[in-house]
Amino acid sequence: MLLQRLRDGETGAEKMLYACFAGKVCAVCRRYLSEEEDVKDAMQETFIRVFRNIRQFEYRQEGGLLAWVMRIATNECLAMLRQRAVMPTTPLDENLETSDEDIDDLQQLPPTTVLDMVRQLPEGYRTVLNLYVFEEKSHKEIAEMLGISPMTSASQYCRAKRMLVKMIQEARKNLHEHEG
Amino acid sequence: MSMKDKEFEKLLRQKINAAETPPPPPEWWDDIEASLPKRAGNARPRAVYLRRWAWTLSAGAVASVVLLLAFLHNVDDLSPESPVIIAEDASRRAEPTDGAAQDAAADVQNERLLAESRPTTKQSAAKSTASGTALLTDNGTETVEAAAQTNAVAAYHAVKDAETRESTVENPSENPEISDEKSGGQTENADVYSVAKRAVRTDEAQQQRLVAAVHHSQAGSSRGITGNVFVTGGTMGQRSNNVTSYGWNMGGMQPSSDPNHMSNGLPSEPEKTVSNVREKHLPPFAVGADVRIPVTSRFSIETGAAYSILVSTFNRPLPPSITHQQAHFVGIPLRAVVDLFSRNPWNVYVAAGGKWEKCVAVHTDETEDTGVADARPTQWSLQMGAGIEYGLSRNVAFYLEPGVGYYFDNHTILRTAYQAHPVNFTLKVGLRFDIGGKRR
Repeated sequence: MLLQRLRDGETGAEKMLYACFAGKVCAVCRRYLSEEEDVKDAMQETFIRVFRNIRQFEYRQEGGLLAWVMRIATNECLAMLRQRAVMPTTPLDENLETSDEDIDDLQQLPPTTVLDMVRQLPEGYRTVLNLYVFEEKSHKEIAEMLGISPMTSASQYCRAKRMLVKMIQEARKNLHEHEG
Repeated sequence: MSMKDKEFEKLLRQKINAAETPPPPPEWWDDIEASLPKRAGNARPRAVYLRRWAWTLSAGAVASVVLLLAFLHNVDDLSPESPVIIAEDASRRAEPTDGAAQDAAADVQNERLLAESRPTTKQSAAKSTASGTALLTDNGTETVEAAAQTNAVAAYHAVKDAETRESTVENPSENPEISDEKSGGQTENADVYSVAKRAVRTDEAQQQRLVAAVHHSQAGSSRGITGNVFVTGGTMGQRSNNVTSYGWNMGGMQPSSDPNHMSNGLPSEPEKTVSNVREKHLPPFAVGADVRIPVTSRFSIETGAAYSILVSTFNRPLPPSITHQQAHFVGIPLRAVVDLFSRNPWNVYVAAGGKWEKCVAVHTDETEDTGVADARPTQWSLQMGAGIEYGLSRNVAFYLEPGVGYYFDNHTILRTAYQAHPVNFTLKVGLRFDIGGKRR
C-alpha cells in the first residue's frame, strides 16, 4: 500500500516512509559516520535516492523494502567515505586473536556504549568493520566495494578489532573502578 | 578464523543492533522535503511515462472519433432535408418571391372556381367565417386574399383569428353587425377564406414538417459535438502554483430547449416573418489560454482569454443563393473551480462561471449590404462543466472536461451558432501545465 502510494507520487507517502525507516537509516549512517553532519547528509541523500528510484524497486518478500533502503544507506555512506579518500591502501600484517576475556568484557557493556566505540574508530577501520561484521561481506567483496585489495581489507579489519577490543578493555576497567 | 572470533563478531553484531540511537531531528525531514521536487522531479521511469502517454493518446483518439462522428452527424442534420427556419428582418418579408405566398395566390383562382362549382353548407359556413374574418381582422381595408398574396402566414393568423370568433359569427343574435355582413353574402370572401384556409393548411403542413425537422435537428444537435481547439494557460493546485494549460476544446451544440425559439420557425415578434432560408453552423472553434488562481486548497478562480471562430452558411432558395459567413470573437472567461476529489494522479473538479465575448470581425460574401459585416455584437454566456485530469508528471496533467454553456440572446442581426443554439454542450480536452511547482 505504502509502496503503491509512493509510486503514485503521493506527497504524504514520502513522509510516511521517512517516518518508518528514518530511525534505522540513521542508525546505519551513525555506524559508518562519526560526525552528525555527515549522518544528516547521508540520510538526505539516502531518502532522495529512495524516492527517486522507488518505481524501480521490485517487491518480492516482506522486509524487502527495508533491506533495499538499508543497502542504499550503506552505499551512500561508503560513497561519502570514498570521496574523502579515507580508504586504506596499505595492507597491515597484524593479527589479533580474540580471547574469552574480550568476549566477557563485550558481554558486560551496554549496546549504546559499544556503538559509541565503533563510531570512535578511524573511518577506514570502521568502514571495513561495518562491512565485515554487520553487512557480513567477505574481504573480497569489501575489496571490490572499496577499491582496495582483499589483504588490505583483512588487515584493516584486524586493526579495527584490536582497537575495539582495547576500548572494550578500558571501558571494562573503568566500569570496575566505578563499581569498586 | 577461530570460533572465538566468530563469537566475538556475533556478539558485537547483537550489541550494535540492540543499540538505541536517538531519532533524527525533525528538521532533517524538512531539508529532505525541500530537496524532493527538483531532485525527484524526473524520477519516473520510462515505463511509467509510456503508460501515461498511452492514456493521453487513447483519450485523444476517443475524443477525435467522437468529434468526427459528431461533426458528420451535424452535417447530416444540416442537410436540405432538414431545413432550419430563421426569422428575418421585415425588409425581407415583403419580397414577392415568398413561395407560400405564390402558392396561396395560385390557389386563390383554383379555390374560386371550386367554390363556384360546388357550393356546400360547409362552404357557406366558410363564407360566413371568411366574411367575419375580413371584417374583424382587417377593418374592411385589407382582404385576406391580399394577405395571402403577400404572406401565407398573415392569412394563417387571419383565419386563426376568425376561427376563434367563429361561434360568435354563427350566432347572429350575439353580434348583429356580423350577422348583417353574413347576410350580405360576400361570396368572394368565401373564395378568399377557402384559399386562405388552404394556404393555412399548406402552411401548417409545412410548419409541421419544419417543426419535425427542427426537432430532428434539436435531437441530432444535442448529440452533435462541435470542435474547438483550445489552448489555455493558468494556475492550479493547492499550493498556489501557476499553471498554464494548453488543450483541445470540443464543443457540441444544442438548440434552445425553449420550443418557441426554434421549434416552429414562426416569428415571435410581429416585425419578423418566416422564409425558407436554411442556415448551417459549423462547430465553433476556439483557442485560448487560462490562468487558474488557487484561493483555498480546493477552490480556484480561472480566467484568461479565448479566440473563437464561428462559420455559418445560409442557403436561400429564391433566388438561389448561398452565403458564407465567418464571425470572429475574442472573449474573457471567468470561472470558479472546486476540486471534488484529488488523489494522485487523478483530480476531479467542477467549474461554473461566465464568459464575455466580443465580435471583432465578420467576413461574409453577401453582395447585399445587410449590415451583417459591420456587426460587432457582444456575447454573454454562462458556462459550467465537470472535469477530470490525470497527472502525466509532477507538472503536466491531461484533462477532459465536458460542460454546457448558455448563450444569451443579444438581439443582433449577426446570425451565428450562438443564436441558433443557445444551449451549447462542450467537451474540453487539453494539457494543464503547473508552472509554480508540483501538482497535487
